[in-house]
Amino acid sequence: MKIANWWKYLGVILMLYTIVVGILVPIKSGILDYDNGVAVVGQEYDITVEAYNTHYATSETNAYLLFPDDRLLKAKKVGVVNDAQLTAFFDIPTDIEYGDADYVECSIITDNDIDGYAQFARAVKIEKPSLVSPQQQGNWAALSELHSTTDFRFPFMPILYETIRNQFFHVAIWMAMFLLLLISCYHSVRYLIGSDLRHDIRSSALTSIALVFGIAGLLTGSMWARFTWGAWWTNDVKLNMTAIAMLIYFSYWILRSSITDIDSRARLSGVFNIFAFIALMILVMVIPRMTDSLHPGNGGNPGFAEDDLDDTLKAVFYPAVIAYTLIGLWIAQLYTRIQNISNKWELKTYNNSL
Amino acid sequence: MFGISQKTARLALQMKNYFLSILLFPVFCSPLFGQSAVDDFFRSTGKIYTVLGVVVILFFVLIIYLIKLDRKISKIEKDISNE
Repeated sequence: MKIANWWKYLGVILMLYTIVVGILVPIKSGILDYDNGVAVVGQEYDITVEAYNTHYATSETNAYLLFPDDRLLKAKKVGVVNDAQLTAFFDIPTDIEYGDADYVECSIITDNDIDGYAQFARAVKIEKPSLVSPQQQGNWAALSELHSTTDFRFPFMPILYETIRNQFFHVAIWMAMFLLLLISCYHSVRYLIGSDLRHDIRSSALTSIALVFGIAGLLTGSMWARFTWGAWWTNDVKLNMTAIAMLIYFSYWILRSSITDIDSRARLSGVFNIFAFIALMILVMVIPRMTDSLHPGNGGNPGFAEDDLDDTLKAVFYPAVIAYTLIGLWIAQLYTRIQNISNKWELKTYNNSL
Repeated sequence: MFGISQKTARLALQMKNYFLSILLFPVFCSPLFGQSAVDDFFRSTGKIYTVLGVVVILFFVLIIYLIKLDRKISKIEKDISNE
């Protein structure tokens, strides 16, 4: 049995999967904040941490300081306030490896068997003392002592927290836009080769919905930026280049609406569309990589392939891209069908009037 | 053909203003938005409401586009039925 329009059903199912799984899967536990960032060698040090998605009160939790040489200093005492807050007490030993620097920066780690470990990187600074007396050995532990969860949970990222889920909405809609514009570009090339007007209609329909995805991408990005980077619009190179690319596609629509002759409109907008797609690739994919950017994968920032997109995120991100692309194709198809009916009708009335 | 088309058109007109206000929202609000209750709301519970905001924006953009498409169809239907 052949199911007609199976890809539309697939798009809807994947979209539903994206929303449900993307929202319901919890993120890993992590440390939001701490109160005391300076420890002194040979003295007692206490730190109160505020955590997220943790079960401090219902499980046996340990606290550690992670040193740059991958050694863990275990807390001598842990005072649990509630599920998301604890105070850890350390004796800072004298046998610390400083390397070439005159201080070390340690990460604070809390660990239990329910949540796995949660850490705040480079939270505590310890200065190298000028004279050391008396010698005091640390209560060191190995990294293998920490628990790790194998649950299906999204990673905890500082500053981002729950908004890591926006990858399935903001980032995925951009990727879908690129795919739709690529298909649109293909139809433009096909029109220029064969002068078949159906390809021009398909191309313009795809550009139309891709532009809507682009506007959605800009607005959602603005929302995300406000509560993570701190501003609706930053002078990030990727943002400005994307704005220029969007303006090029706006001018595509102005160009189309300003030409009344169907064939010259199709030819001109076909050429313009190919030019616009290449400009978009250069502006959004190439230029931001050459300078500094807040976006991952640009400038000095790590790309998707590393820890920004781990396996749990990929399990939702790729279906999300496919879902938006299929929904976009569906809407583009509706647009194309309407345009075809309209064109046929115009042709019929024109022939009748002759 | 559909009784809702007139109503949809009016809604779309209102939507257009709404859309514009979303677009201009950042420009108007950025200096005023500092430490308000709205700000606290979007940052609470691990910033989960920022995700909600993003999903709502996505939803509205698509709905506005569908309303636009609906109007286009209504116009063609009118043209055909007038002949």
